[in-house]
Order: sequence, then structure tokens, then C-alpha cells
Amino acid sequence: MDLDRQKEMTPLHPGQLWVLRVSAGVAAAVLLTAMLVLDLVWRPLETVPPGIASCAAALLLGAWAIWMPRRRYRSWGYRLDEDELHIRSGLWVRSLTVVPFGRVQHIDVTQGPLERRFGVATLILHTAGTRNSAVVLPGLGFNDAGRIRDIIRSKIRQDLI
Amino acid sequence: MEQTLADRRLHPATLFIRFLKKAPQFVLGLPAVIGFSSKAGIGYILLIAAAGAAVSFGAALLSWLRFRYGVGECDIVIESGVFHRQRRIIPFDRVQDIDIEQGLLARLFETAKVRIETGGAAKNEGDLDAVSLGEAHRIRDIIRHAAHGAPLSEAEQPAVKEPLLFEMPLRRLLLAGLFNFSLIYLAAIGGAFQYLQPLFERNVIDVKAWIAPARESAAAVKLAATLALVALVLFLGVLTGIVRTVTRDYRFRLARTRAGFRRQRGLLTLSEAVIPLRRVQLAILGTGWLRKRFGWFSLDFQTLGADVQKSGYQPAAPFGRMDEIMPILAEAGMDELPAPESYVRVSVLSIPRRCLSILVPLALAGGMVSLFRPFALLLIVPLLMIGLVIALQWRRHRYALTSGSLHIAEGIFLQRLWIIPFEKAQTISVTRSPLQRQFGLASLTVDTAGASLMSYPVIRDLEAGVADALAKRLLEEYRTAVKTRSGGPQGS
Repeated sequence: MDLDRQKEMTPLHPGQLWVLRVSAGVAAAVLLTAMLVLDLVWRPLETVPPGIASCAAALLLGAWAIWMPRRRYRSWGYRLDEDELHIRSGLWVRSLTVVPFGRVQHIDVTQGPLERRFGVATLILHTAGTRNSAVVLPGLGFNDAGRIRDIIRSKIRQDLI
Repeated sequence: MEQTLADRRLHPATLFIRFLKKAPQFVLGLPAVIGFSSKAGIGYILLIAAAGAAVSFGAALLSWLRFRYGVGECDIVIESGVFHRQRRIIPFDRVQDIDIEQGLLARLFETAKVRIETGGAAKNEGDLDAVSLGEAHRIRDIIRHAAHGAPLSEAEQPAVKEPLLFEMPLRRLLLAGLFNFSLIYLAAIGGAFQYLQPLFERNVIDVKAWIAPARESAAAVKLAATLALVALVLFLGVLTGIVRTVTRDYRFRLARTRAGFRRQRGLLTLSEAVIPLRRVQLAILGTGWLRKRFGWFSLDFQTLGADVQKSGYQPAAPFGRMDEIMPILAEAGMDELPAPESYVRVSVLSIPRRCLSILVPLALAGGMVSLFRPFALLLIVPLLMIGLVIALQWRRHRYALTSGSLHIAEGIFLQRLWIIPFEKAQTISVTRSPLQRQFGLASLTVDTAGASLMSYPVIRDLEAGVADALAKRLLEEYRTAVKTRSGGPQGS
């Protein structure tokens, strides 16, 4: 939990960076299209010459789509200890969560179409808690996710609720 | 192992209870709507009412006929559904709580609703609504004794040797009701009066014109009316508090059973709940600003698998002295309270941090408005009060560690002490919002099973280093607690 050991955390699989880039790109494209429609077709503000708002939006969204995925990718990290998993996450509200393996009720490994394309998977640990009842760790290599799941599964103890 | 047969039906009175509960919709509601919206005659409306009654009775009959259950050696089977059949099997060792509840109608027919909690997400998954009272006790005793491996013969004399831990005589109950005087109810009543005010004004004017035309006496009448109104509101506030408390906690009894506690209470709706000790996750010692001066406290347990609607809290002693509550805590192994001087406050920077996040936006908004409406400057009074509350909350927000648990104190008017045994932590997390990062602060949350989403134990605004160290310490305590527990003679 100490600050110096946080740096020893494992970064996510590089494929996750591409997952984040593609989803940011898609979001930016959708917003830009909306802006173009507003700017060139609908034109609610007659005084602004066409094209200016779109160019500004394109610059901002482009910068965002290039800049943010990298930062979001870096905000994640995890460390697998002997008896618990430490997860660092969050760009805006940063958090560090520890899940003792004895507390895990069941484990999911999920993989969306985009994740499959880049060879990553999401690990979800379900506990009996309420606020953190599903602790999510995205962006693991598919094989890593399976390996971590098997390690945790061997340590789950149902008798300690 | 043999399959358990679902060979029993619910009590026939269930039919009538369900019908009576649904009757207002079909027999009164629908015809009323039709009566209002069309010019149909009274005969036609009566016909609709009769048809509604028939349909609703038929539906109740069908679902009663199609509902069966059976109690086997190690599981209970419930078959339900008119068209879509469902067969649900609940193994006894998955049962967390069994509640027996008797509403007013159920008491008339001597039936009871058995509620089997499994800790699953689905609501009402194990409800038997309703069976006869004797059957309810039979089911409860079978499940309870099967789960604890005790011989069934013991079930026949349960109430005799359960030591009583806490009960509320009527005097205590009335006193508790006095303290339960709720501001929310007061506000509701005030709102109602606001709504009715035109009526009152007219009355006052009438009275004024009627009694004396002189101006002074009119003012006196108005003052008297206002005072009377305030007195009435206060009286009603106290009365609702007492009525609410008495109906809920009438004949409150908490007894120690083999595996935990048994609680009975209620005036109109009798309820009986079992709180198994191994399902208890944490304890909340509550009091109020005024209650504390008179030495009154309350104790709730947060249990796994309790109804989420009730936010997982089981009252163990709604209104009692510390020396009555400590023995209950001792039964749960949580009676080691930290010494008052061992409590540690959170960082004092919490005050500016919270002021910035709450007060500054409000103050800015108020300032903007006051540019156009100068009287909005009066808003400064509530703002100052919020600031004061923030400062007082900082003073009350403290934590302490004992050998077995983490203690978190919070609240000014409603004060709470969370007692969280180390081994009950589900996850431990340290979070830092952007503003907290500017002040070098962090919050520490211990997630527990059955916690409510609204109020949960959290230590807000620790210094970041302290939060990290505390999280580390809690993790170590968790490890040792789990290790000693699994290495010890008892498995759970």
C-alpha cells in the first residue's frame, strides 16, 4: 500500500492502450460529426462563420483523443501478492484497492470484440461487499487474465464469510 | 439422496388475505375510474366491480393452487408460477436468516409469513406467504437445527432456555418515542399546514371580525393562533414519534440463542428475526446529540444476507443504557471499545477541503444572485452555518484501532460509532479526489458485506501518508485475524 511500492505495479497489456485509443477515437468522431451537423447544416448561431467551430472542435477532440488514452492507460496498475490483488486506477479520482483472495466469491474474465482484436481481457472479482462488490481490472493479456484467475481460484475459501 | 417433494400448499386463508389486499384496486379502483370517466349507471359500475372481484379472486386462487413447497432433510423446495413454472431448491446450509412476520390480517387468521434469506441478490426468493403459525415455527426449527447439526428434539422447547439479553418495557418505549421526535415528520406536518394555511387565515379573519374590531386584540388573536399552531405542530411531532416507535418496537425482546440472537417486536405486525452470530459483519453504536446527554444509545448489527431494502441493518437494542448494550456486544465479541484518548482525528485540512467543495460553489451562486437581488446576501447565514457544521463534523470524525477491530466515529446530531472487526473487511481502498490531492489528503473505505450504499464506514480526509499506512496496517490485521481464525479450533 505504500507510495514507493505503488511504482512496482505491473502496467496493463500494451493492447489495452490501443483499445483505449480506438474507443476514444470513436467517441471523438461521433462528437465531431455532431459538431459538423450543428456547424454546417443546422446553424443555430448565424453570426459565426461556418467552419470555425468545427475546426476548433476537431483540434480539441483530436488532442483529447491522442492525449487521454495514454494517461488513462498509465493510471492503471496492479500487483499480484501472495494473498491479495492490489489495483491502482482512476485519473480524476485516484484509488488504490486491495482485494484479499479469501474474499472473492466468484471471478469473471470477459472479452469484448475490441478487446479480442487487441488480445486483452477484463478480470472481474466479485466479493460479498456492496460498494466494491465487483472489482474490475481491464486490459490484462488474455493469457495473463486466465492465469491470474486460476491463481485466485485456487485460493478462494468459502468458509470464511 | 432422495429428492425433496413439494407436497404442501400455503394456508388457505392466504387466498382471502391476498384477495383483501388486492381488492381496493379491482373492486373499488377500476369501477371508480370508469364511473368518473363515463356516464355509466350504478348497475353497470357494480357489474364491473363484481367482475373485478371475480378476476382478482380467480388470479389469487390460481397462484395459490400452483404454489407448493416441501421441507426435506437438507433442503427446502418451492414450486411456483401459474404458466411459467419455477422450481427453487434452497439448501439449508445456504440459509442465512429466517424471519417470521405476522401482519394484522395474518394475526386474524393465525397465519405467518416465513421469509428465508439466502444472501442472494433476488428479493423474496424464499418467501412463504403465508403458512399457519405452527407450520412457520416448524419450518424455522427444522432449518435452524439442521444447519447447526443439533438434534431436532431441542426445537420443541426453544423459548425456555434462551437467556434474555434486552427488552423494552412500555415506559422505556414511550421515552424512546419521545426522543424519536423526528424533524422530517415535523417538516411534513409543517408542509401540510402551509398547504392548509388559507383555511386558517380565513378562520383567523373571521374570528377577528367576530370577537372585536379593535386592532390590538386582532394582533393578539393572531399571535395566540400562531403560538397554538406551533404548540400543535410540536405536539404532533412528539406524537408521531411515539406512535411510530411503539408500533415498531412494542414488546421488543432480544434473546441469545445457540447460534446468535433472536429478536421479537411489533404491535400490529409481529415480527421475529434470527440474527446468526457468524453472519454479523459489524456493529453500529448510535446515539443522538441530546440522547447522549441522558445516556441513551442504540445498537444495530449489519448482517450478511439481510434484506437490502432494510439496508442490511438489524436493530439489536433500539434504546438502552451502555451497561445493557455492552453484554450484547460481548456476545458478538466486539465489546473491546477503545479508550477515549486513543481516538485519532482526521487531518484538520479536511475543513478547508470540504468548505471548498461545498461552500465555494454555493457562495459563488449566492453572490451572483445577490447582484440582482440584494436580499440574497441573507444567504450568508445558512452558509456560515454549513461552515460551522463542517468544522463540528471534523471534530467528531475520529478513528481508533483495538486488538480486534477498527472503530470509526462520526456525526454531530446523529452520532455513530462503527465497529468493524478486522476479518470482516471485503476490500480496503484508498481514494483521492483532485481536491484531496491538492491538500495531500485521502479517504479510506473498508467495504463490508451487507453494507448499505448510502451510509458505510469511511474515514474521510486522512493525510495521504497516514491513509496508506492505515490501509497497510488493516491489511496486516486482516491477514493475522484470518490466519488465527482458520488455524484455531473453530472453522468459522
